[in-house]
Amino acid sequence: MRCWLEGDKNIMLKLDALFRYVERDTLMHKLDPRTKFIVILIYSIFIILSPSYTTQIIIILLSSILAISAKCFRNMMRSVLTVTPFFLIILFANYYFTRLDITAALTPSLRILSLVTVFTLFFLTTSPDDFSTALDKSGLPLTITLSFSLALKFIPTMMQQINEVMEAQVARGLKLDKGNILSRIRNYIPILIPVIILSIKRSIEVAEALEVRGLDLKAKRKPIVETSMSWRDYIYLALNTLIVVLLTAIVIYLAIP
Amino acid sequence: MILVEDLWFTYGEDFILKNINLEIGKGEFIAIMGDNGAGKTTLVKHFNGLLKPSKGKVIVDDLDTSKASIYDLSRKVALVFQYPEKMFFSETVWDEVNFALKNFGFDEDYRIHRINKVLALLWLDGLKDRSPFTLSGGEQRRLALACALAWDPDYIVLDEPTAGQDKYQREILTKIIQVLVEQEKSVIIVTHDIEFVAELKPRVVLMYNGEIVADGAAEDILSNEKLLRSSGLYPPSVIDVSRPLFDKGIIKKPIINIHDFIAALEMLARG
Repeated sequence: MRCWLEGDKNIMLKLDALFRYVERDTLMHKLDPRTKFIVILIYSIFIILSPSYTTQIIIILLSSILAISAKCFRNMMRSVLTVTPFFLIILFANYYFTRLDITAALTPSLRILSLVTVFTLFFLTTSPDDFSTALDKSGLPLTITLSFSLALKFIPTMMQQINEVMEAQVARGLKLDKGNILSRIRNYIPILIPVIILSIKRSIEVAEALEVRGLDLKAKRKPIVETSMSWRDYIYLALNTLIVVLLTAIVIYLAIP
Repeated sequence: MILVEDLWFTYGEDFILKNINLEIGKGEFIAIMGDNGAGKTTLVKHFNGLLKPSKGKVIVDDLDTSKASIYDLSRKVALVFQYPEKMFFSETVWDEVNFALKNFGFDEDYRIHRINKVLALLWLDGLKDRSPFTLSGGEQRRLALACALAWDPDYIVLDEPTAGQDKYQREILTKIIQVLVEQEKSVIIVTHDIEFVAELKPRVVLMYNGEIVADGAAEDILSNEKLLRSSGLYPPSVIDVSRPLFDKGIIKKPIINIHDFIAALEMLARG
């Protein structure tokens, strides 16, 4: 945010392109969204439970390789760069407060980084439409799947909204990086309140628009696009499960840090 | 003086602003007009440093916008965005106006003096303790304007001030802008509301597709139908009547607003 204020070529605009789907014709893009979703779930559970930073690094490397194969490595690096400050904060906070060695502080901080890479890979290679179709087919109630996919679709709009409000308040002399940590947080109130109000208003508008266009939450729905699992999906799923099992075995039996 | 020299701007791929050269003097009243996507808003965002030139430079008084901070530039140039009422966050009208004054570090006496003055100027005197969210649409728009006028900036940029406003509110806005012009503030309005501009008759800068295609007096530009249509705008409705009269030699020049038209008719009637 600081560099945005210093006028460093409009960082905010890059932010809203962060998790946006990149249309490419690669193997990763052709996989069924459900497959990819199950895979990131498996990885997330492993990442959260694993006490070893080596495995986190392995996962980051793996998803980087997959991102290269999906031709969206650059976009992934962009989101990695965005969370790097958080990574550093967690790293130093852990090191500073616990006074353990730096390797112990690496695990929780790398956890954030590996989660981000895994999720970014998913969002970069899965179109929001495919994702909502997959959600519909998952058997969850429509209210849940619909709000989830709508939330995803509105991330870019939301980012743009935040950007607009920031510009307006900065034009009224708001200084975001003024004062100590507490007053810096308070500096964000003039941005947070309009953003929250606008979001609530928009959610009501979207709900009304859906209703006037005849959305019936109880009706049985049939997807326009049929998605089906192919042999690719089963292989991808099996491979990744194998990798996670192997990693788990490594963590348990070899007890590497 | 705002000086724009050979300004080019891009977000990464295509140039949104191409070779913009513009000089806006102190106390000048100017309308930047153009179709949607002509680059009007992108241009004015350069005036207070929200955007930095990709090429060329923008100078406000003695500050180069690519070096000066948004804070220092905003002190001189007040930018009121489209639908500014979306940005309210305070509990009362008073606090809303006070926000910018506090940001710019004015002392309390001056703040009270300015808030009272500005609320009176914008016909909002009685509403000090109301919540900004309970005001009517027109009142909200005027409050947003009050917030920007509060710190007494030299340049006031209004982005689509008439968007979503009824005729009555537009008349009030016209009067307020006239007062500001009389006070020798530089007023820059960004709009495609041709009737509004025809009423006020400022200097007009016409933009199309990221370029300035015309720059001159409102009478010259707004009566040039070909130019307006090629820039995606329609001429003011009075032109439909005054153009044939002009062609037949009954009046001396094409007239762009109703008040001037009535005055011309009176002249004719008196002989």
